[in-house]
Amino acid sequence: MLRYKMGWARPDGPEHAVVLSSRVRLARNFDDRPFPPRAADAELRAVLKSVFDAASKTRLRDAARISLADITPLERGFLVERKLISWGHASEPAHRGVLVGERDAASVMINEEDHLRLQNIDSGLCLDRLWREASAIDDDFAELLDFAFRPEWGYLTCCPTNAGTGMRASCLVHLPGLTATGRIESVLRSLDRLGVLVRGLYGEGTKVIGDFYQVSNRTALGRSEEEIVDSVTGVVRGLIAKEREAREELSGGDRKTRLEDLVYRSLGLLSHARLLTYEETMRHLSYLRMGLALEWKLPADLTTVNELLVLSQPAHIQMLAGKPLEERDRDFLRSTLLRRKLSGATEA
Amino acid sequence: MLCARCRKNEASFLYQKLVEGRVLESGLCASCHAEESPGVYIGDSPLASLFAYLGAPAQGKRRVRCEACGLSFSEFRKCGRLGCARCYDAFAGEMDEVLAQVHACSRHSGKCLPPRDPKELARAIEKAVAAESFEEAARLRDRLKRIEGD
Repeated sequence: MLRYKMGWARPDGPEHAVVLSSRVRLARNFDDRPFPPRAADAELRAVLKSVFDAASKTRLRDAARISLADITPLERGFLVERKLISWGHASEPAHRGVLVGERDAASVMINEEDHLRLQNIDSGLCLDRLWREASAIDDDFAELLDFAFRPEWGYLTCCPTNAGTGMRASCLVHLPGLTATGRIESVLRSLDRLGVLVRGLYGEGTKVIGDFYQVSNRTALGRSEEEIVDSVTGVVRGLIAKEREAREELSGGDRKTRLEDLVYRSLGLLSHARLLTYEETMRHLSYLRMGLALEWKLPADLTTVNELLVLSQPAHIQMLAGKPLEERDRDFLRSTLLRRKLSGATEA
Repeated sequence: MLCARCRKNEASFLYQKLVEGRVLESGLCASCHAEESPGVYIGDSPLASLFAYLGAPAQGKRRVRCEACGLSFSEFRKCGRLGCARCYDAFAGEMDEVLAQVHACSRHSGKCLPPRDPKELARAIEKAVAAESFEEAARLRDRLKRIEGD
């Protein structure tokens, strides 16, 4: 499973210095079957089979078909960290499944809260392309399955917050500059009026981990998919400009030494520590990533750092070990992985 | 929905926290949310508006139940999730209001599921052409060809 290639972590998408990845998700349901949370086992089984069968006649015909009940909890955790399934989906594996296309670029969660959740994901800011790709896969399935749709309300979903387009268009953005200049809060507040939702990844306590934020459309009904994509893209472009400004400010004049100190300390810690928690790793990879995005000559590269952001996650570390590990053992293995990945470069 | 932390006030924020590499989501009231995340303002979510709306006292709601899956409107008010697509039809009177509350709009204006009936499909093509949605018209024409070919 570790060999699955994920395209979205490559640092070659548009605006990748700030935008790690973009994702478009479409929720679809059968018209004549109860939504998964209210469905009996037989219904869930029938849905899973119908979707797997239908997939063979769509452009996802070569996708891996994974029944969540057939894999271990650790493997399910791994799929969550790869953004292919959700924790809710992983926690009730019976009659749940996922289709995974090449490089993880397109996937379909089956029997999560909705019968189908189509997802397209790639590196950088590319929501418009992802929407077209997701829509084409949706067209393929719509030829074969009877989707729930009403002209006035659009696509019907288990939770009314997703009804209408059934669409969530989101970007994972890296905002260490705005955080370091203390502007992040006012910037996020100003987004509130723009119809987007911002979520951080919280660590223990209060701090957002690694300065990564997910920006997505707030509502799914009343605007077309293109309008939603344009609005999220516009907001993200605004964030990119503000983040670039902050990074420039931090890397000029008196403040440069302070920023360099921060980045090099992170590099030192990641390349020499013997026990690294996930949170600590993310925090320091974030600084290192900012230094690299500023095109400083550092003994590391964006590809390695992006890869490490994914590989450092708890289930990935355990998959690397080939077995479940206690927290301390994970921290040890994580530090070994980081040392190995960063050492070749730092010794040079 | 009650706040997962104080269990007293209505939840109005969706709070995410990373524990052991797992993202846990819970609904919090405004004051608990402020205490849990003093540094960062994340804003209100549509789920929060849904629960705020469903949590408000009901006024003159019909006692209505979906015949297809058996879910009653009052059960929906408690859990915020519908049982099946037919629930939307069963609660049609209420859904407009629920959707308007969550999305600030209750009418869909995005992609449409193309009809299966060839006559309806032909009408949809004419409509798309009239609206100069040529890409949509081409998509519908492909579908018509496939249906007629079956």
